[in-house]
Amino acid sequence: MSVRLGEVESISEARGVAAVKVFISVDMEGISGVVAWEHTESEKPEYARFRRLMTGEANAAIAGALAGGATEILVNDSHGGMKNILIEELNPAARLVTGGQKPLSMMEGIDGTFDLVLFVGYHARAMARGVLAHTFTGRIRKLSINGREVGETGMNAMIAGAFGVPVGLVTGDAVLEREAREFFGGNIEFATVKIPTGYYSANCLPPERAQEVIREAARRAVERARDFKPVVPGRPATWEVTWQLSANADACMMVPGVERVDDTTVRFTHDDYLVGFQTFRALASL
Amino acid sequence: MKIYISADIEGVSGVVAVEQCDQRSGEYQRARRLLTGEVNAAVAGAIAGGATEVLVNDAHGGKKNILIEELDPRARLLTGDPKPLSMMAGLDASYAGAILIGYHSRAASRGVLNHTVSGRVRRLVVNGREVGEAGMNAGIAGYFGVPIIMVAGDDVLEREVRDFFGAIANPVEFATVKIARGRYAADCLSPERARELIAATARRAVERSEDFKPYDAGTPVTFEVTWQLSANADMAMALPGVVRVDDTTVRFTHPDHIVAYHCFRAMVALAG
Repeated sequence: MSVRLGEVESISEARGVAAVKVFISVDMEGISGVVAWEHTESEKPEYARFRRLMTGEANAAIAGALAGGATEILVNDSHGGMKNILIEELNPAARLVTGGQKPLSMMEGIDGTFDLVLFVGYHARAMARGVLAHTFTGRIRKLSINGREVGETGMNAMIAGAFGVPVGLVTGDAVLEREAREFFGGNIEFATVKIPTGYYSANCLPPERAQEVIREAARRAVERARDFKPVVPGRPATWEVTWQLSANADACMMVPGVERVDDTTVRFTHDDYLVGFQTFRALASL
Repeated sequence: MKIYISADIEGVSGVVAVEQCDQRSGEYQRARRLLTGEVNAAVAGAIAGGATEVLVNDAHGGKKNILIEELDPRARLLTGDPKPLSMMAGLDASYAGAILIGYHSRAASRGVLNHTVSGRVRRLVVNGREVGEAGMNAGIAGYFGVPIIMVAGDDVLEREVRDFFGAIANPVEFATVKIARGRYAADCLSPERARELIAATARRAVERSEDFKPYDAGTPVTFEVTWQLSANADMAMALPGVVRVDDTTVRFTHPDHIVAYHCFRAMVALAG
C-alpha cells in the first residue's frame, strides 16, 4: 500500500540502531544578530534576513544533534506566527512543525517518545536585562510557577518534564545563560551567541561562529543525553502572573478558577501542568 | 500511457497559512516553488512508473501558480482560469489514471487549511456521500472512466480519502507529507523527503494503474450544498432547478454529472 510517514521515520529502528529522538524548539530573539523587534516581525523588511539566520541556527543544532547520535529530529517553529523557518533551507534530516496556533505552542509535537529537548534562539525572561527579554507576551512582568519565577525556558522545560523528557541545551544571550544555569541547577549545555549591551543591543558572534558554537554544544548535549534530568512540574501546579497593567489582570478574571492576588497579579491552580499551561495561554490571549 | 495530475496548494508540505496560498502575499513565492517541486516529483514518479504522456493541471485559486519554467519539461501544463471542469480541466477518457497533488481535507474537518471549493461551503454531499474536493473530483474523473490512482496531502485528508475509496476494490495510493496540528499548523516532511515520498508513491501507483477502478457516483447526480449563511443559499436559488432543502441547504439534480457539477460551480460563484 502507501508509504506512510511513520514507516519512513522508523528506518533507523529497522536497521537495529538505537533510536535517539531529539526535539528542538526554535525561538527568534536569541539568534545572533537579532537585537530589534523589527528583526522578528514578519511584516518588516529586515525580517527576511533574520528568519534566514534563525534557519541557520536551527540547522546548526540539527547537525550537532546528528553528530551526537540523534536518529530522529523534530523542529518546532516557536516564534510569533510560528512560520518563520524556511523549510526549503532546513536540513532534510528533520521534520518541521510550522504554523500556529498550536495547543502546546512552543512545545508542540513533544511527547514521551523523545530523549532530549534543545532550545535554540531563546531569550531571557521579562524584566531581565537580556536582549528583547520577555515572557510569552509583552504584557507580562512576572510569571511564577509553584513559587519559582520562570521565563519561557523554565515554563517550556516543565512542559517537556511533564512528558518525562529533559532539556540538554539552551542557546541565546549571556543573560539567558545565567537564567538557564540557575534554573537547571548548572546541569545544562549552553551556547552563548551574544552578550547584551542593552535591551536592543548586543555584542554578537558572526553567524558562522554562532552556528559552530551551537553545533558543538548540541553534539555534546546529545552525546550525554542520559546525564540530564527532566524538570517534572509539581502536582498541583499554581501559576501566578503579574501583568503590566491592572486592565490585563481585570480581563483574566473572566476565566473560571482564576483569583486576584493584587492589583496586577492573578493566580490559578491545576493538578495537571498541561491544563494549567492551556489556562495560561488563554489568559495571555485575552 | 497518459497520466493526469491535478495540483492544488494547501496540501503541499510547508504550506500551513492562508497567506502562503494568496498570490498578493510575499510568502506566496515560497509556497508556489514548494508546489512546483511536489508536482515535479509526481511527474518524475509517473514517468518512472511507465507514463508516456503527463498533463499537469494547475488547480489552485487563479490557477497560474506552478512555475512553468521550473516544471519538468516532460509534462505539459494547463495554466490559467477560468477553464471548463476547473480543477479537472483537460481530463478525458484517454487517460489511464489521475493523480491529486497538494490536496486538502474537506470543509469543517480538522485538516490544514480545510475547505471545499469555497469558504462559503460548509458541507457538500454528492449522491448521498459527503465529499471534499478529492471525492468531488473523483466523481468527475469517474465520469470519464478514469480512476484516481494517488493522492498527496495531510493525514486528515488521508483518512478522508481512505474512507471515501474504502468501498472500492483497490484503494488509492496516498503520500502523507504532513500531519495536521490544527487548521493553520502541521508537522511537515522536509521538501526533499516529501518529494522522495511523492515520486515513489506516484511510480507505484502508475505501475499498477490497471488495478484501480474509476469511481462511479451513479446517475442521476444530486449535489446537495450546505452553506455557511442562509444568504449563500438565497443566492443559489437564482439558478433554475435548484431546490431549497432547509435554511442553509440547497440541492440540484441532473442526469449528467458534468451539468450538475457546473451548476454547483455557478452556485459557488453566486455565493461570492
